[in-house]
Amino acid sequence: MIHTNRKWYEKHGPQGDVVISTRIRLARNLPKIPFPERMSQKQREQVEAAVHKAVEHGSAAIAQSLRYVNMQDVSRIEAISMVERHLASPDFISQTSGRALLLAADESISVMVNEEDHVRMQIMMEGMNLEKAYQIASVLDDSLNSSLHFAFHKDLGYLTQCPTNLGTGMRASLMLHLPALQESGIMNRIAGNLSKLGLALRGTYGEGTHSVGALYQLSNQVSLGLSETEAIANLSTIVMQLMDQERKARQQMVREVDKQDQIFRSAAILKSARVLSTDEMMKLLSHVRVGIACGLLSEIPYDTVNALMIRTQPATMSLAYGHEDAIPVQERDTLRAKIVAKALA
Amino acid sequence: MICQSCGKHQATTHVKTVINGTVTERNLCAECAQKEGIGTWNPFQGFSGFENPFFSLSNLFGSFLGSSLPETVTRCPVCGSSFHDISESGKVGCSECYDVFYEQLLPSIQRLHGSPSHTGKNPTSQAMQVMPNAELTISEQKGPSQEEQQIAQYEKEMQQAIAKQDFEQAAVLRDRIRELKQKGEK
Ligand SMILES: [Zn+2]
Ligand SMILES: [Zn+2]
Repeated sequence: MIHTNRKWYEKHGPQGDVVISTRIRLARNLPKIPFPERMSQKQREQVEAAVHKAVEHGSAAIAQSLRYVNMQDVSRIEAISMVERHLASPDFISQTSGRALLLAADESISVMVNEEDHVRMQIMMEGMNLEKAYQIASVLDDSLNSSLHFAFHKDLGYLTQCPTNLGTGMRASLMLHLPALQESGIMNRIAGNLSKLGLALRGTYGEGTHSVGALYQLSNQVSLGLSETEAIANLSTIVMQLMDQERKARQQMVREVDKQDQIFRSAAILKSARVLSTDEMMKLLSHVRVGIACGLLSEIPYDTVNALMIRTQPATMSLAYGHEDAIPVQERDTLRAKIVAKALA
Repeated sequence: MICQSCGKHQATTHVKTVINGTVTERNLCAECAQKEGIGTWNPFQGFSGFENPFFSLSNLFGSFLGSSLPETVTRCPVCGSSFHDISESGKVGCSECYDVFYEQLLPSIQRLHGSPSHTGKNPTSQAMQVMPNAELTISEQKGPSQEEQQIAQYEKEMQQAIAKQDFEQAAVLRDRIRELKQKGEK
């Protein structure tokens, strides 16, 4: 974080062949003030000011390092880009008044103020980094708690607007690349089994359990009665098994010459296409990822693939190229093709 | 309104997603929202066709509504919500509501999480987590207890708040100190 000004999504981490990123989210609320759904404008401003102050005077250095962004000062395209960069939710940006975002320079820490709860802290890290991400979240939590005194109940834990988040208020998620399992057509069955264990598996892009680019989000559903450490341990155990299955299936898959052909063709298209839609790129990058993991395309770093998945999202790309509005689709697909070709050259 | 995904069921959730650089808003039925993993759950109402329905409002309140409704409706003193408001929206009004409507909320909380009691991080007293029983507390207690330390810390913070003329904060701290001292006396 100190040696580089790269964003978290421009790196890869532990188990990076399957686990793209880790996210820890803590939901917290202030006592004696209605939850966001029932707050007055004045109360929104009050909470915003209190959180702002808590961050500035926070005991932890990470709290003080956060940049404060009033959502009303943010352009539409910047706001959409925040969603693409996983910093904010679509719901959060749909109404900007009385809302603020606190942001670390490498974007690994963000705090949404007055989203579904008064405070939603989020730590994003590359690869599988659950323990470390939780540690950071907990330090930030302590620092803010020392002045905000978050609402807590001895039996129900941290009190949240939606009872699904009671207890630890923690949601731990991993973004997984599962192309071989997806191809074997067992994702629905796996998701069904996982839900019985209190975990949810969802497609990241696209609908239901089919996901463009074979990207999935695995997260804990139960937050009451399980400690943070237990929830993280559960998630880790399950993900280890999934990873194992995925890797075995990949080994099998890449023995077929058709699959090898698909991997090399995908790399070739990405390097030389003149027009690339987001969907096509995500599909091709998915094949390339398998190629890297199985040693067929070892010259391409995971970092590059990970960074492309975020940097070529429509709003983020438009913003990076100095546009105040979203670039028209045709132009966007051309620009995306250029960026991808350059990155993989 | 009909679900924009399946075109069959009644739409119950309003869903916002960012697709291709624009915020898309759609109305989905509970099932489709759940399928896409983007629905806002209403744990008080449960889903039809969902494997593990959390809670069925009609089952639990059928008898309640059928009998005579009480004349006065209990409302939370902080946010003004009634239990009806909460079960309709699936959103609790404020942290105080959990005390006011504790008994009514408990069944659905248990349905959601399987357990009614928190075992994770505790912001007020780390000691509660570490010390399994009272005997241990007594035998191991040497210097000031966790609570006494906490009181000292609050007193320090209260003095600072007063110095900064932040009387609101000072009052909050004063109440906390009082609460801790009362707890200690019991
Ligand atoms: Zn539907
Ligand atoms: Zn209330």
